[in-house]
Amino acid sequence: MLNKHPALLKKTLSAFAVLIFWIAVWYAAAAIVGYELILPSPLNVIISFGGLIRGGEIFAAVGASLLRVMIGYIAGVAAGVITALLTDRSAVLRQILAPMLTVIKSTPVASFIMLAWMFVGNEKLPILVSFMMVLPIIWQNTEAGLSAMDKELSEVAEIYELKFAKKLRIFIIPSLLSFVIPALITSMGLAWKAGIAAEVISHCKNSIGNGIYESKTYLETPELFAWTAIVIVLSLIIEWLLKLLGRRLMKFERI
Amino acid sequence: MNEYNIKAQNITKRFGSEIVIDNFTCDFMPDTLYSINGASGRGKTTLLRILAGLDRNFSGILDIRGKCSVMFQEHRLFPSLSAVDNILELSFEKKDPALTDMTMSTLSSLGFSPEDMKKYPDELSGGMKQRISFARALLFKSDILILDEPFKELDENLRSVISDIILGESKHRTVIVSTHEIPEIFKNSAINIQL
Repeated sequence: MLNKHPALLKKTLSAFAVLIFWIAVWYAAAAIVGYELILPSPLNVIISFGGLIRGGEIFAAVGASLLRVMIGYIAGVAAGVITALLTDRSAVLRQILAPMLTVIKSTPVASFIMLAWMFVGNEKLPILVSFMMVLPIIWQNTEAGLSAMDKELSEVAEIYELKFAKKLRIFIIPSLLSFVIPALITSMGLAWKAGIAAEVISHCKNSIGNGIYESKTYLETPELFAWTAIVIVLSLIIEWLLKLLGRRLMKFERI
Repeated sequence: MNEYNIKAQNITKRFGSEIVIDNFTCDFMPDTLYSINGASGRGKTTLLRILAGLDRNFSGILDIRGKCSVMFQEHRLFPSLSAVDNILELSFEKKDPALTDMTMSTLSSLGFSPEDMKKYPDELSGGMKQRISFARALLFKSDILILDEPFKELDENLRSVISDIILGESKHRTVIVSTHEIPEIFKNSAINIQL
């Protein structure tokens, strides 16, 4: 396939070359530092990663972390869209909720995690933190999309007496996609990182965050790097999947 | 029968200090064709928007009794729907095979091939979009059919087809057409209102 697409081949080769370059830099830096506890070599990180795989606990931890973040993410998306629909219709409600949006956006994640921890406990903390990361982004972008909706098509919908469900399907959703899809991608990255941070702080059982915390506690730096690599790789995969889904949806809706 | 579908009394519309519609009065009766004529910029579209209930910012009395369907001059098609779906989804509450057949037959009479019917608005010419917008208004079950410049961007043959359809429709409902050049066929059949 790559032979038939020279541009794709070139892109793949150059990405591979960049990867090799940075692994070489990492190797060199690890050799210069010469202390595994501070900067382990890529090989030792791979060995630690293999150990995690063989131990089996990684799968349950990844699954549980993904589940927690996804629950918070989906709830945040739903709440963000619903709130935007409501505030778009009511200026009073928008005024009432505006300070909440400002507070959520301005509060440092660490402060938020510590505050929320007191109310919801270890297990639910990553869910709540992910939720709070997603809500304002989706809310703001959905609201921006709603106010940018084509007024002329709105009049058509009014004249032809479209029921809300149909209006949502043929007009509102296609109009909002170009605003909401970038927000879905950005907020997923934030939810994932903040959710894992919440797991680290709350030592949430059976989680990637707990793996990171324990590696740091027992000074298992290669393992700490391995867990971090898992977070990065999963984040990239999720972002790639969301972008793919977004492109498909935009193409389907002819945006 | 003698009850009006739209009563417009002393309608005046201003854009800033400029008066666009000045004291317009007319009772639009059922089963009657009205042709609102005038050069560009004389307020035809503004008047139609008022009559359709889309512009409520005017002085005077307006009483609309019945459902309106409107063909907008700017086509206003939904970009995510194909040509035929722009009609099926808007003109009818639910899709069904009989309605699809009726829509396709109407589009066919307006010069659409089955392939054209599946095209999306960004693949259609201005004239084709115009006809989709016309068919959408035509097939929507309403008491008042409002058509803003239905002959724009059409060739002589299609103008004649659409004129015939409009005349036919005016036997069942109030039809209000705006145009800057009155088709010959309307001169005797329509109540002409000059703006």
